[in-house]
Amino acid sequence: MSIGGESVVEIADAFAKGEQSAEALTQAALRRLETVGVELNAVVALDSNFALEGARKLDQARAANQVLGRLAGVPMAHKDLLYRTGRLAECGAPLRRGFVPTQTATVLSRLDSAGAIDLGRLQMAEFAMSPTGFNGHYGHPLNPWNTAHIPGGSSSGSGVAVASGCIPAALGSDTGGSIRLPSAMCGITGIKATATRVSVAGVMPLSWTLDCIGPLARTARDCARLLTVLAGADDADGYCSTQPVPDYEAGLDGDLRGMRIAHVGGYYEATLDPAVAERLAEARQVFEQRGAVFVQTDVSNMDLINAMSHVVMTVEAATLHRQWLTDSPDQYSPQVRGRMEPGLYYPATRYAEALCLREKLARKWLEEAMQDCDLALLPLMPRSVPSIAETSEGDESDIAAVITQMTHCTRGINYLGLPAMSVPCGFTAGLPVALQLVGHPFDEATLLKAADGFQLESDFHRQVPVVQFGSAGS
Amino acid sequence: MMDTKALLATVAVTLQRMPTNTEPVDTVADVVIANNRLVADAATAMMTLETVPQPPRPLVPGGGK
Repeated sequence: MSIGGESVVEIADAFAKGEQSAEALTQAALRRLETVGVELNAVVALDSNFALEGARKLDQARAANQVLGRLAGVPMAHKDLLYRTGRLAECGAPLRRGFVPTQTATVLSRLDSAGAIDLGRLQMAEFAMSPTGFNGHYGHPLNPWNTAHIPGGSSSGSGVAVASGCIPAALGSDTGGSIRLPSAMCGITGIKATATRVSVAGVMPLSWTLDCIGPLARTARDCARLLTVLAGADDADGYCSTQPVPDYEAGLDGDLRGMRIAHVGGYYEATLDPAVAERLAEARQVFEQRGAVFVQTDVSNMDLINAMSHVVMTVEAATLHRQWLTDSPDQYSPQVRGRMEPGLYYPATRYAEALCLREKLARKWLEEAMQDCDLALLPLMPRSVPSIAETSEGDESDIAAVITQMTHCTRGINYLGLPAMSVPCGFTAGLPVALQLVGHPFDEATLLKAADGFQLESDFHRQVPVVQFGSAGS
Repeated sequence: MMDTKALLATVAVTLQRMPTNTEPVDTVADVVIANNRLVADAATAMMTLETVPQPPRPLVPGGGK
């Protein structure tokens, strides 16, 4: 087996059966990251010695018949805002250049314990603050399906590295769509769990109330295995939920009969591109073929929810960055400084009100959008994947409109705190299209089951792009 | 009377201890003013005397410790 599109589960199983050594898997992933990953600007730095040392220990453990973790032998790399003691974590920002943390993120410790191999750090938008993936200092990571297009962000390197078959999975963070957007635009599967479901200890925050850490991977089954390892109470994160974590993978039986899915219209479909609408309609048919039932619903309050989201995110980001914004404003790219700046001007009472109303608005959204359904199906992005030019050249107001449109269906979900997944559902003009599944609080299991059932009938998530560098075509 | 944009700049300089050349560009001021109004109006409508004095709530339904 080589690395190049295999899933987490396939690689872990091959290692467990003795078909591949962890060292060989690690070397293959490193080679692909050093070539394809670097060409696509997905890589910040690789830690080959650390990775190979870990891989050899796993090979020795297997040879000694020791119990192996569920991710044993799986090579991964991660967004460069996850701390590992003694290793740089630079958050896509010159201001963090040379920063060496003295703690390891809980999520990385959990992956280590499960036997995953950490290959290094992946590119990201500056301070996780761009849905395009663009980094004003380190350039554009390239969409492997068409290098003239954006990969989505802010976990851009994670999306690109997985989609291009360098690694089977990576961690990212999601504050307004930053796991789901690169997953969608790169044609892979990603999950943002319920707020507080996964520890954020040891992660550079953007907005501590909205930030969620989660996996970008090939399949829903991969996400289930990863989330089972990642989720759960953590003494290092006082807000992390103590609710028990099920074995998400054990619940994937492919049986969607009787599952009730809300087809949420109104706000979510008002600006839908016809080609995207067509892919979503085809996807709903697949769910129905497997026995799911759709219920048409609608939502109100979305302008208010988006305003709340903006207040919370910008105030928390501006709070974290105020000193740096004061002392070193030129160290930020203008786009990122401009996105944080509103947080300096909102009254404290607006911020407190936005937090006070969060639960009430979440309940209202659930009542309207979900009614008595098990989950909701929404667009992930109402348009096709934008080109780099559309998001960086020309009139500023046009660029701002494109960027706002990209998060139209994602940013409110973070404010509501709900779990959500991005699932590939086809292509338009050679670029991936995704659907979004949104669940009840702490019901990630239903999302994963639905996504897995859909992927038993489709192969969009298994396709690996043939990367053509310097070409506008795929 | 001070206009809203100038007021925002004053808030930033005096309360946030930003450099004195801080002044929001028009687009930022517009967004802040619009969202400020939306949130304030919603709070007026949704936060009644009965609901405001309650103790802190979990971040999401069923969430937190």
